[in-house]
Amino acid sequence: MTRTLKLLLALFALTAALDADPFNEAVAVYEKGEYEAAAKKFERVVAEDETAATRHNLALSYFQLGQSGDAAWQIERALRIEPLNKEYHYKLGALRQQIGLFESRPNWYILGAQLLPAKAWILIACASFWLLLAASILPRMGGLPVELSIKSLRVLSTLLLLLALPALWIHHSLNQNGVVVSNSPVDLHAAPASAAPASGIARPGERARIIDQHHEFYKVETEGQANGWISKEAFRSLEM
Amino acid sequence: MKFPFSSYITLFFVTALLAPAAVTITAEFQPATVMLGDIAKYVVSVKETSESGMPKIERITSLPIPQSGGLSLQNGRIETPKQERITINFRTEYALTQNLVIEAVPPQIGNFTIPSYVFTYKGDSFTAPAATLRTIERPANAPPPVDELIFLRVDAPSQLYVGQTTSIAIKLYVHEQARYRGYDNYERNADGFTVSELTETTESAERVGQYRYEVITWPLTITPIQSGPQDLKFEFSVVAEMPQPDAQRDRFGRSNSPFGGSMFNSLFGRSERFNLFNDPTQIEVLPLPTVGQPDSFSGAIGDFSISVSTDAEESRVGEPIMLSLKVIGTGNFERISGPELAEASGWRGYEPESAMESSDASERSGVKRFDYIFIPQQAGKRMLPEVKFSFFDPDEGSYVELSAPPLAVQVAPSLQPQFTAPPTANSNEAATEALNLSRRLSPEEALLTLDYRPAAFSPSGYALTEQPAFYMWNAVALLAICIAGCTLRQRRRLATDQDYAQQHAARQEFKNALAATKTAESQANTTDFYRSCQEAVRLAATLRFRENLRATESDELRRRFQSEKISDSAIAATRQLFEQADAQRFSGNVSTSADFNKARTQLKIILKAL
Repeated sequence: MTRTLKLLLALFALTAALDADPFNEAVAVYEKGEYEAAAKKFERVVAEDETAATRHNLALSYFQLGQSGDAAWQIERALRIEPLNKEYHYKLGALRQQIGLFESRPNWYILGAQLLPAKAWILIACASFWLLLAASILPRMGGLPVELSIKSLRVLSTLLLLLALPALWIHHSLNQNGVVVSNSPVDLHAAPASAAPASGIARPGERARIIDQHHEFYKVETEGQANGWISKEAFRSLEM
Repeated sequence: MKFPFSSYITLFFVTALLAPAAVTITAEFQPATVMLGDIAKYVVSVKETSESGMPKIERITSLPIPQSGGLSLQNGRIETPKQERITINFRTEYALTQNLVIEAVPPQIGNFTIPSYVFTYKGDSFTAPAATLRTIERPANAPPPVDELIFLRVDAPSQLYVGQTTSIAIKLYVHEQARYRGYDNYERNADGFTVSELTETTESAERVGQYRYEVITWPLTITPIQSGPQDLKFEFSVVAEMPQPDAQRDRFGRSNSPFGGSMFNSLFGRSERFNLFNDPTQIEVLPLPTVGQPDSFSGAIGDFSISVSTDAEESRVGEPIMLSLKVIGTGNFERISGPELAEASGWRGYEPESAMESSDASERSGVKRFDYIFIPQQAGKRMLPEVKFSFFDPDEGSYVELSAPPLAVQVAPSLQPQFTAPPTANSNEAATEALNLSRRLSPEEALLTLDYRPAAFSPSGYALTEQPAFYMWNAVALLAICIAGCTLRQRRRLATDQDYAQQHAARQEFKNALAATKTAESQANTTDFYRSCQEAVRLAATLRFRENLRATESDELRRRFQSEKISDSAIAATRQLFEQADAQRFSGNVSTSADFNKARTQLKIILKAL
């Protein structure tokens, strides 16, 4: 009897452990208003399994904690994972408005490039290239008549290649972007050293394009057109 | 024994360097005789001389001066050490002189002698000689004593609160018979206060007792920084001309000289330096009461009023307006910061900028303006936050809180494109729109709402290009295209080029014939073996000469070989192979393995030659 009871208890404990989803735990902590604890839990969740929702929730936790730079990075990252999520776009706009940055909606071609992940575009580019090569060379080598099917294949593969290459270039460009994660304006330096004179200012949550890097500094160009070197502690890349 | 001249020179310098410095101590009163009421100076002079170099300065920290019949010694100071360098007959002497000056005030008529005493300087003991001060009775026509000729007073309140800024005045009283020439040093001892710097002076005249004085006033502001009794002490080193003691003066101190004593004294009077101190002044500093302190109190002490205004009564969403708070009155403006305003719905506020417009030099009175920037977030009639400002009134000893009611601003919609919320699932339904059942989340609400549905995500990126399989499949695709291309090209040639097709067929037949020789040999089938050998030779010749020689006989082959300059051994081998084949065909004998080997060797020779 006692043994059966112990087994039942163990079974209940196991079931409870399985039910304790870390994501839901973090959500529950957030709803209690314990944003710092929620942020820590979401961080643990995202370390194990990165999802757009976790990044988004982490952004909101940081925002409630007043860490606007981190919040902006997290929601930008969520949008890299789910680029077509309108809700995330709205919240990024709201967040940027709250921290004094202009609302900037992505261009249609950036959204178009993000319709598919880079991996898919690579496969499309390779397949369309070989198809185009085969459709162009083999009929000529075999002396075969170029029928409508072959012509269609050529046009289709050419179009796919023309779509895939710019999309890959856009993905590559997006990987060069990052966000100022500092919670206060940061000096950009004229050289990759803290002692170098300031050449500009980067605001918290501001986007910037990485031009170069050297040791612990990135050379960036911010969306405010400021150029200079920024410490890697104050700036984080969005590379995927 | 003879020393070189350079040794004497070296010895001279070493001796000079090692020679100890001579110290001379003098002590005297200046002047040695004073009238009762005047102040003399007791000067102890320490002169150190050396020929090796300038002696090092070591400050005299104390002198054990013995008491002398009630002589009052006060306000001692060390004058700046004087350094001298005298060269006589190529010998240089360095001298360092330090003077310790103490004011001596005789209490009565008589002689006051400070006996000699021993003090320590640079680790050695020295004796200060005795000095005598003679005090005589003040004549009726003598000028007033120095402390009545020139003195310092401070007008300050007896009680203040911590943080209360108040004006005080340092007044220098100069007797009409004296002439003030300026001051060259000013020091203050007021650790419990922050004190403003000396500014421009004002001059006035004032009568104190029976004398008339010129009054030089320095206005200052002080702010107590700690509670309790706090000392306030100022010291001025003043240069002034004093009246001559032997001048003929009336009972009011005025000169009776026929040349006009005042002007004469001005021209030929002797300037002296006096260290003047104010009388001990202590201010009782009270802490601010904690009872009744409003939440909006931020340290303002004084008497103030406020006015609140905006630079516009209408605005648009996103267009900032300025809320200005003016604090008017008297008090510690430098410690007043802009009050924190409550958050107002529909507004985004920023920290204020401040500007001070003083109405006096002390900056205690005037207007301090705080400009708050607010950016409307939503259209409609919006109320700016209420402004509360409180201060402590030191006269009443209580706190006063002032408030201005919220101001209304009419906010029009933005001219910029609207910041739209994401469409909801049923936002396209016209009925829902018509009933207006849905509500757009504000940015604040949106930034509070979590995403409850995590979707699986597999990071892809460019990792694919780093996998070997990616390159392998691309290589396979390239290979497949190459194979397909070659195949198609061959088919096309076979279809269009007859010679190539014949050659291609001959090549296939040749391979088949060679294979047949092997099969026949293994089966010991002599007939098939030789026939296959002959066929192989003819097909090899067909391939070589690009002609159809499939049915050619031995003689013709031999002629062809000779014309094509094939080796004689090959020609001979061909002849022998064909003869053996004919013999075999007609005799019907079974060949031995030796025959097969011989025929195969001959075939090899022929094929190699072809």
